[in-house]
Amino acid sequence: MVSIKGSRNGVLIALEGAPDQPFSASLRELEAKLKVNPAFFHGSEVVVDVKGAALDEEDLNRIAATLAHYGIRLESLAAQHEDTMRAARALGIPLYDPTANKLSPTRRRARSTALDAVDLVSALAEIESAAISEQEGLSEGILINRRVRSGQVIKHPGHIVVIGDVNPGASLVAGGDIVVWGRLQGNVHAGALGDDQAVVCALEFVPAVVRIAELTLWEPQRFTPTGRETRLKWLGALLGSFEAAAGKPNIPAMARIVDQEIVVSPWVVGR
Amino acid sequence: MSATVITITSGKGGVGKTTTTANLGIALAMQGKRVVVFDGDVGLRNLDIVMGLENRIVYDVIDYVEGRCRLRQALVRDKRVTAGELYLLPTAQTRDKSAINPRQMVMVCDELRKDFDYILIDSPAGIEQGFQNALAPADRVLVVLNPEVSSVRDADRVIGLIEARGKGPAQLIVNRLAPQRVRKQEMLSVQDIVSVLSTEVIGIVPEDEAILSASNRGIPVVLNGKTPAAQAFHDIALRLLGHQVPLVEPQSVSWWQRLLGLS
Repeated sequence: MVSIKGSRNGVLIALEGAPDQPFSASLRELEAKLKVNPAFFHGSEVVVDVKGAALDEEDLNRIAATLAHYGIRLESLAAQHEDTMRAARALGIPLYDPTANKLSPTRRRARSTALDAVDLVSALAEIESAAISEQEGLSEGILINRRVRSGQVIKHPGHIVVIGDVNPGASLVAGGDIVVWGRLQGNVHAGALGDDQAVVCALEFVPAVVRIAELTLWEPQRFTPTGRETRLKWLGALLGSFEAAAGKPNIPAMARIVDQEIVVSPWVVGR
Repeated sequence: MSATVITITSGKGGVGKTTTTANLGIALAMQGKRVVVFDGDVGLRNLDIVMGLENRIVYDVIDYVEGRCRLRQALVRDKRVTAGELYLLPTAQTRDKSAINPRQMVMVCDELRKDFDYILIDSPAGIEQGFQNALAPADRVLVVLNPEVSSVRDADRVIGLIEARGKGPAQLIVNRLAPQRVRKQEMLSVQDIVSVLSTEVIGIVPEDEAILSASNRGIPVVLNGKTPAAQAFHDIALRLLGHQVPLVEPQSVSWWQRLLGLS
């Protein structure tokens, strides 16, 4: 099984071959995953975790070549088997050191002060873990706490959560789900690595183009409040006030794939 | 004494950067300040034309950077303003944006800082080298835009780049607003613009026919006349100086609103 995860430290690709699965099968699976959206990883650096597999230099070269074909650089290798580690050293591939991280000094400081709380957190985690499914525990995301402006692209192999508006001309590309706590007007692509269960949610759902996995929806349906709001809109038009007349949609909505089609439906609290 | 460097930019072309730079420079000088307006558009200069100083250029900033003259020799004095001091620092018409780099822009501005209160840089359109040059020495950035979707989109892009360079927060000048057309929903309102850009508006300049002829004659509107645009530029200059001048969006009223006494 091949899994691709994103974290603050970068992208991690885990090649977990079953004991009886040959290495070439894992490699084919990796290639199949990368093929889903070749542009997604182009230019990135990844850590590959081969777990306990015993691989020789030729195997490692094949991994690097497969990644290079998609414009990905093998930054380091996580391995447990002695032979694999020896082969990596011979090829000059750095071995992944989980204790070293790419966090900025400020963030590292924040983490160390948080250490005291770890005991409490892990105790709580044990209690809470029953409520979290294995699938949920696997995915990671990134939180963007600002307005995403035109021309800006946020790309992440996990989920993307934006607290703020996503302006026209901005793009969000996520391997997982996309949640916008604000007005979504830009372009979004959820499940960009092929996950057709991915969803896109926004408080105000007015994107230009929505893509989920391999499907695309242009000009999604807008959910404009009806009844009183509509009457206000007409009144607004009569009074010549642009703001009231614009009838801005303000109902939260979610897009997901239903029967090979992207469907947008209003989000109703408490359903 | 050290000058404040204000870069005037927009992303999109033709929204009124050069007109704004010329008028704000003059308006600040009329408040008794010592001001340089600096043309950042190498190869496509026209701040000199709008200011009516085209025929008085001897040297330009590229001559200075390449060692052919002293900086003082490149400055063109505008004698029409008597309250303060106003100079134009022209650029070369025969070269392109690669003739100067961001480091040299900072150097030129640092040289000017000691002798002046304000340096206004007229940025070229676009987000390439010329924009990067104009942004490098900036202490404050004003983004000029028109109330139309493409201009707002480009302003959004530019504001993002300004923030990324740590030059923010930028301030907006909404130029060429026509209240009649806003009311008919043919044009975006200031509120619409702010809802997308969430950036402070420092001035609203109404559409004004006097601007075109003023630019062609080389006599910016703030120099003489009390047109609506001239008043708006004077207000922006006062706000730059830290005065509290209330910002009002020009309104238009329809015949039946007048009839009902709603305004």
